[in-house]
Amino acid sequence: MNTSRYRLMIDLHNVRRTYGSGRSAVTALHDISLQVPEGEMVAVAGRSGSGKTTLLNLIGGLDRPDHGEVIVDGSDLTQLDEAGLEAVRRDIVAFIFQGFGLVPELTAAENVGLPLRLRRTPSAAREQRAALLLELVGLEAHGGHRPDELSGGQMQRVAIARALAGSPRLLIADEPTGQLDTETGLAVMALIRGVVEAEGMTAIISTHDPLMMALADRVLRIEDGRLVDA
Amino acid sequence: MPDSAPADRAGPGRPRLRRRGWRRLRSQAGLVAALLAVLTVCAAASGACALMLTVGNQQALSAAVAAADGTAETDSPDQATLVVLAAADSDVRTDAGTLLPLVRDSLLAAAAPYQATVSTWVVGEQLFLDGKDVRRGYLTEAASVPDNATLVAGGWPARAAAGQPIPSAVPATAARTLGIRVGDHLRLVRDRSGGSAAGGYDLVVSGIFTPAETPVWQRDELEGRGYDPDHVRLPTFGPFVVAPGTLETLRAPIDRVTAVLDPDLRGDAAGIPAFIDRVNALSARLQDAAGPSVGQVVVRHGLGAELETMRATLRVTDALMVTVFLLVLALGATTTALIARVLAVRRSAEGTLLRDRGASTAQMMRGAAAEALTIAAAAAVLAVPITLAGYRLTVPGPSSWWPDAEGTAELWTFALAVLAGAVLPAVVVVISALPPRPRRGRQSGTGLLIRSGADLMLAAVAVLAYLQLRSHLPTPGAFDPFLAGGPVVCALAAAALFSRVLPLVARLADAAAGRGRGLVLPLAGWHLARGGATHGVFLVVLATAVGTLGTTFLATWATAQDDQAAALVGTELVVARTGGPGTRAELAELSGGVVSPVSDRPVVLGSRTDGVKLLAVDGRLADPLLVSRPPEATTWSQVLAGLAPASAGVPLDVGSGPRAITVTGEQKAGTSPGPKQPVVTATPTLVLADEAGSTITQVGAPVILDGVPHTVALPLRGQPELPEGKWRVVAVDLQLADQISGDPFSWENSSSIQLSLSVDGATSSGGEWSATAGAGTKDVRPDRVTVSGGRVDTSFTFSVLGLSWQDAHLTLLSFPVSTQVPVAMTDALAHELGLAAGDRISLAWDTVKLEAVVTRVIPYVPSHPREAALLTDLVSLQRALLSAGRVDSATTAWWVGSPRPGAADAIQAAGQGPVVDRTATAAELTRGPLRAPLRLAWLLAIGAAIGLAVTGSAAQAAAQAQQRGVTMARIRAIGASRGETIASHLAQHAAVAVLATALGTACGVLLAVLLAPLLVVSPVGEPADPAVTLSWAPGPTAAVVTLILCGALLVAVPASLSMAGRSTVAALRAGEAP
Repeated sequence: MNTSRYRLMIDLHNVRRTYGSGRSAVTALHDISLQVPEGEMVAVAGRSGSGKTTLLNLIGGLDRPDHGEVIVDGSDLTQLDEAGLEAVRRDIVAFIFQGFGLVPELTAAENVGLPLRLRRTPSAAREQRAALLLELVGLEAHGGHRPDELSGGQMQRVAIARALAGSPRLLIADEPTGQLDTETGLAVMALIRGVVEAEGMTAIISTHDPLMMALADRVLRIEDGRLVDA
Repeated sequence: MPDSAPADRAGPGRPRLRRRGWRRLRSQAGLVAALLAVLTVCAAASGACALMLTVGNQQALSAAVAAADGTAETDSPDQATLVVLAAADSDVRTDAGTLLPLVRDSLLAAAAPYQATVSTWVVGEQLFLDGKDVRRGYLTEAASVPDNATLVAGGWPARAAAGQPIPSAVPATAARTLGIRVGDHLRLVRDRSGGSAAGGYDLVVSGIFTPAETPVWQRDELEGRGYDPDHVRLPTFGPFVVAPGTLETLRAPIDRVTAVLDPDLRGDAAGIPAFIDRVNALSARLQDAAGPSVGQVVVRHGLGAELETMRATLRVTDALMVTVFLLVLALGATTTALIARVLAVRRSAEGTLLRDRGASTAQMMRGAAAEALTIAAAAAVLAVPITLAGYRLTVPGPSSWWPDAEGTAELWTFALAVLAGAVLPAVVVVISALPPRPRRGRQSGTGLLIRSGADLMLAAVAVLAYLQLRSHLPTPGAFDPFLAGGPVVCALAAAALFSRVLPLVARLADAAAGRGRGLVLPLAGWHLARGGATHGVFLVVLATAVGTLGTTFLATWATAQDDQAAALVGTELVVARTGGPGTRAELAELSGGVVSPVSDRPVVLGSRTDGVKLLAVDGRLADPLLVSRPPEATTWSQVLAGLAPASAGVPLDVGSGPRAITVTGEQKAGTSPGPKQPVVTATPTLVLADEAGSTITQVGAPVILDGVPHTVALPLRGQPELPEGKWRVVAVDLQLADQISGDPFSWENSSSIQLSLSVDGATSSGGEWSATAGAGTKDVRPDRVTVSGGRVDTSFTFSVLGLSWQDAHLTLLSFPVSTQVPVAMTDALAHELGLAAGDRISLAWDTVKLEAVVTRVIPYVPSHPREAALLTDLVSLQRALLSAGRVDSATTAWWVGSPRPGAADAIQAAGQGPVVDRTATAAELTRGPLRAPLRLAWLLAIGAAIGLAVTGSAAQAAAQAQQRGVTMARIRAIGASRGETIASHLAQHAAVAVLATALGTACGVLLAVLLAPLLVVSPVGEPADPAVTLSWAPGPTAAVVTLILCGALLVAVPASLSMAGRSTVAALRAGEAP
């Protein structure tokens, strides 16, 4: 795929990440370079421990590489301080976690409203947007439910709604269907696919489910920290 | 699925569990150390409680008994062990050489194994002074005489050399009357005919002394007067004091021996009851040993009753100490529960893993029990030296590690208490190892119902405990379980109920969080309302409540002890002496305060069989003098104003120094049938009052009422002169006697006498006096009495026959005759007798019949709290007594108000008599050996409350930080900053800490208002008198609350930083793990 015609949302150059030091050091990513244009939905496939999550954490500004450049939406994350990374996570990137990542004490609507609180959105606008997003993910009737009162699929849909709340330009989903059955997983992926297209955002999703990969524009395979089929 | 046998078999074996336990101990050293510290506090508190209730009680009792026994020389029956042996009234008298060693040995044997001293006061037999007149004298040897007398000439006697006269010191009164000086020789003989040398003693006067006004002179035959013109019908002089050991060496016959046993009872309180039994048996033992030559043996001591009072005081202190220690244990158990919860959170993953691997609940519980018991055992081992060291540092006593090496039972009690104190809270740790119940999102309706029911039950328990505590009557001398347990139940229930307020406040925070725009405070509010942030609230509320209750109780207690001391003593200083004319000036100079005479003695009221105390004070000095709390909405001066006489009367103002009075009495014509007029004599006695209202009498020589003026000089030889100052003659008593012979019917039946009496230099405003013949005197009928300047004129008739049988008295009074005494009566006594203001009741002062008029009912009478007592004005009482013909001074003691510091010591050093000091009494009530442990226990409890609250808050903060780690990582993943997560956690913790301390303070205030007045009781457990008023201690209370609050806030800082450090990608990954 020719990416030169498009603006790059993700641009990784020789990114390396090693955990530990000395003889116990484990290199999770080996000099990875990757470009994802704006609006593309990319699936990252690989076995557990292959480095998918590490790659996504680096792209989302949750982690820093030992070597290389991580450019997201034109900003080199390796050059940003902690506040800069927080701004990236708050304004550009949104995460969807395998374990949903919801705050258990908060209701679905409150969880969805969290990113808006970080932007100090007025409460009326916040509540309106949360309701809209819950309606979008088909949970308008469950806004007052807490996570432990929802099913796995519902929780992940709340997580998707929360991810969309801040109108991010990049959606990062780390095995979003990992804890869901196949049918629910497909429904969630379809939902992600739908909102990505509808919102025009870029998405990078890790998965090892072929059915999920089919919904992506492109599939990247990662093995032992190396992209094998970019 | 229940744990199955295969699962058990598949579970980890014992060695693996043991290894895991050690690894766990190493990896969670901080938490284990905190648990160890809290269990050590619990064990130490329990051990300290046991120690104070066993060994401490014995030592306190010993110290108290020893302190009480140290004043045996005061002759107070409450404190001394006095043995009085009186010789039999027979020709064969016992002698000092035989009796004294017997008495000493018997007393020392009774005191053994306690160290003791025995002092004796020996009164020799009555002898005759060699000479023409029939005059008697007696020898005395007593080592304590020099301490109770002032030498005015010469020196105290030494032992006589062989063949030489016996040196002897003589009272000044006797020396003056006998006209002897130092160096003079005299002889005391058994036989007035001269007799042999063995029948008498040659004495040489070595010194002349004045006896001090101390009770010790009650042991003297003449009670220190030195001379009695009519002692058993003969003029008697004495004592002729000889050197100690003289009578014993001479084997002199004796009349009486007074022995004082002064044991040192410190060290072994358990042996005191047996000692008392031996003392009680002394009378029979001495009587048997001394044989028939000793007629009477009297043993007086108040140790039994005093010991019972002390034990009652200890029981009260014990009950209140148990309250304190139960509160500390409750705090300790709560703190342990919090730490156990942190441990459970920390180990939840491990527990789940083990259960998944097949470990049974029983296995898990056994492991937890082994761990908890190991920590509890370590805590118990640590607590032993800590408790003993603390005990040694705070309780004075022998400097050994174990307070009583022989107390095996106490040792076991202590060991068991320490172990129980460590093990019981540790049970909470074991329980926390149970598999967690599935967490529900919201509280179900059933849960709410159960909780509401529990709240209601708690409220009911608290109310019942309070009502029981308020209404129950203590059993004197017995441990009071209600006093011990009631406050604890109330405190726990109240703290639990107040803790329930926080969730209500959290709901408001929840609602506010929903409306807020930002993240920090709303997140804190959500966690507060929904996130289990309130688990540590009960501990902080209880600890703050205990701190507030403790500081307020101590302030109230101290104030109450001051109040009780003031009520018990009545004034600042009480000098127990009757005193002479110069007493007031002497005491005023020594004390620098307001000095006033008082009369304080038992009287008989109506038909009440038990005595009633009557206190008479000078109403004009009531406010500076009476320091105890007056009845509500009044002052003591207002109370006494209604009891003072309405008029000042018409006293004769005189100066100090010698004076002369002129008495002229002229008999008028008598009545039939007798033709002869009798010769009538009158002995005048002036009753003089000083400015303070103290009265003294000056007795003149008898004069014949023959129509001729007779001048009598006052004072007579041997009587004290009036000191400088304004004196007033308030009454004149005339003792009338007639001299008739032969057939009484040959004399006139009755006679009338016109009498005038002039006091030189006296002035008055003039007017009328009154006269009374006194109660029981029917043979004298007074007429009108007029006064002009210094002269008093009256006339009276008398029965000649009556006077021939008995002397009569005519008392002229400068005020109207009235035997009524207006009194203020205690409400308990008024209730008992069914009396109210305006009622009258007979009052017997010795043999004098008076009438008490109840003018007011008051809660208590100063110096007689909790006693049936009356209060009156001293002048009113003296007037009533004079109206009844009693001219003796009513003064029994002197009260001193507003003395300068050290006045009590100065008065005692000057030999002015024993002094009761209000300040010292208050100190004794507060810091005496029987009460001090309570104050100490509360101070330790307050310290423990602060420490445990901070420890528990740290545990709660750590648990919260641990639980919030993943949540905060998730929130950071969506863009929250590290600072925001820290601020949110701190805000949540601060809200809990502030609310909990505020609720705890409110709870403590409520408990203090309700409980503190009930916990402050009299030393023997009765309601305090005067009633307890709540005293706040804003400074100490604020300090305690601030320490708890600041501690609870500060411990959240490292926990929040730690949480922020953990809210990383790694935590996120761990939290996301399926």
